[in-house]
Amino acid sequence: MMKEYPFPNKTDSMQELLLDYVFPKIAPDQIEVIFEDAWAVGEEQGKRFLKELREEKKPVMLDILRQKGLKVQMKDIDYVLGKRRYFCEYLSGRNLLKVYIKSVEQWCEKNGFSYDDGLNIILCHEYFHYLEWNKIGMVSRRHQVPMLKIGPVCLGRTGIPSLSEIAANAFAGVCYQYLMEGEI
Amino acid sequence: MTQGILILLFMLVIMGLMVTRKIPTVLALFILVIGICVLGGVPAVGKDEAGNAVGFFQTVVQAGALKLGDAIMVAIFAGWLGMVMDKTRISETMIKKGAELGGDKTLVVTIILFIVASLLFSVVNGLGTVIMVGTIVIPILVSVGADKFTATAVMLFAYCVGNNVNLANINSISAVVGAGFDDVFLIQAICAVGAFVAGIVCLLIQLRRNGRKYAFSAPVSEVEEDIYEIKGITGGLALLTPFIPLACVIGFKFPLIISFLIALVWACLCTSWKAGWKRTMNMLTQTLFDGFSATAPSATLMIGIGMLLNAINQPSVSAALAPIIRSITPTGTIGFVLFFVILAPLCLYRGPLNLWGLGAGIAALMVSLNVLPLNVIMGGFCAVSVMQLLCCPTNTHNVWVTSYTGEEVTAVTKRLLPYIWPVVLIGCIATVILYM
Repeated sequence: MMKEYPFPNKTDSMQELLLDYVFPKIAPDQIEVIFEDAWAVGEEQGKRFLKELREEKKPVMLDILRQKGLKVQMKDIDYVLGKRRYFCEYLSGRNLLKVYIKSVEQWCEKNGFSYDDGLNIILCHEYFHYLEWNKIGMVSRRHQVPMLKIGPVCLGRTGIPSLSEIAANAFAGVCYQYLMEGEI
Repeated sequence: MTQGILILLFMLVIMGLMVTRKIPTVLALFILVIGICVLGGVPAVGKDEAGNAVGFFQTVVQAGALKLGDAIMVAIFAGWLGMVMDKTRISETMIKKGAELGGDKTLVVTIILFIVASLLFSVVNGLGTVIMVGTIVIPILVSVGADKFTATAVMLFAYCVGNNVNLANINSISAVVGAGFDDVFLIQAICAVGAFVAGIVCLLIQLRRNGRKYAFSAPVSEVEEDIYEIKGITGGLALLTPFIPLACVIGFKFPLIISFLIALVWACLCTSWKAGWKRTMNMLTQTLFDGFSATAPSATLMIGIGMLLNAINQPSVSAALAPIIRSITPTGTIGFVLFFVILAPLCLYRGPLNLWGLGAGIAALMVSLNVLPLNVIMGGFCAVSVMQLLCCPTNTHNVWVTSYTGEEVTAVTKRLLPYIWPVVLIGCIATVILYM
């Protein structure tokens, strides 16, 4: 069962894949392979990102995102839609980032972070999506499944949405280690 | 003439109270009915020379409450089916299968869910089912990268499209206006196609503008126990449930209630093997009560509308209003199209072109004047009803969907109006071609 306030580690990230709507279409022997591949992409990008920022001791992601031209909206709400709580959203077409402050505050409290540190980690996750959209391409498309499968007949191909989230978590995980523990 | 003007002024006052949410529509209709009768000079009690009751207590309140009884019963059975589809997870499975097809393609998922939700609303309606479908569709849309407004638009357009071909709804319109079921169905189906195309245009524009949405999010509660199986061949057959009433009514010309009952039995047979006899019987009983409850708002509205129709048709009331309505009723083709297209927003806020508000009375009067053929008046009101279904901020489904997604209900109305107005024009042109 996925945690209510998940930390971007490997265990929680696997839950993203297990709960993906297209999960039933993934061949059982491919689950681990696909997951590890997405995780590796996120880690690799995380290390690359930190190397580029080597001169900065503790990057402030909000400033970095603003420097990249993203508009940031801070909304003072706990945003729960249906059975899901949203902490932060990135809209690629409008280059817009929405931060749901009260949701983030809860996430920080449950994971033992100060608000600023917690937000920084969450923004690392969103920064990876910015990279996906603007630089490295969509991780969700690295592995594809049939859109429709009736017996042996397969029609169309589509990506696995959770792979983007898994890679973004790996990216945030690498950044976390650097931000909190000083390791790359 | 003075009496007629007073009645219209009273209608406007009641409309104002509805718009400002001082009185709920269902209660406002009862007040409107009594006011119309009093201002129209209809006695509360009385008998004519033949000994028939002519007072409004009997002819308007008592008889009016029963006038749309058939439509109310159909709505209740449709509500029951909707609840069964919810409990047996047929609706949820259809929606999730739709999401599976699209994968990470936001546009594909959005369009598929739009189609699936439209299909579900073609069978079931009412706030209960909007909540049932919306709580599944909206989070999926948001999770695959649609923004809040797009998710809102998908739900409202789906309700608009589905409701236009919803058999219970068509039956109700047919009863209110007095037109034939097949004639209403034809115009409604054309409007549904128009609304579907408008919905697709809206989604394409929105998704192009916003791009893809990514979110850091997590579930807030655990998944419920799954005792109804939607798997294998029987599961696949269960997903046909929404088509069954349509096939029975359109294909075999069965009456509506038996068609819903057949669909209901089909749904149980295809899903309840794991749940067992006792649980299924309990589920059927519970969903029957829930279906009644879900249909209560529209049933109450239909009780009020039945009374309103009888009030407007009282000889003294229709005589008072006839000169005014005659002066504004269009006569030619161009006049008819311009009247309904330009004045279409008067269907909002339960206004005079809203068949589920003051419009029921106005339509009844227009029909009684014989200026335009019955089906033409029906077509005009059906055409504007697409705008009402999609945009009216007093619709309970609009209020629920917008509050669920965190949008502002009147802001959504303003943003959706440009997409739906052309559909009103299409409906009017179709009416002219078919019935004028």
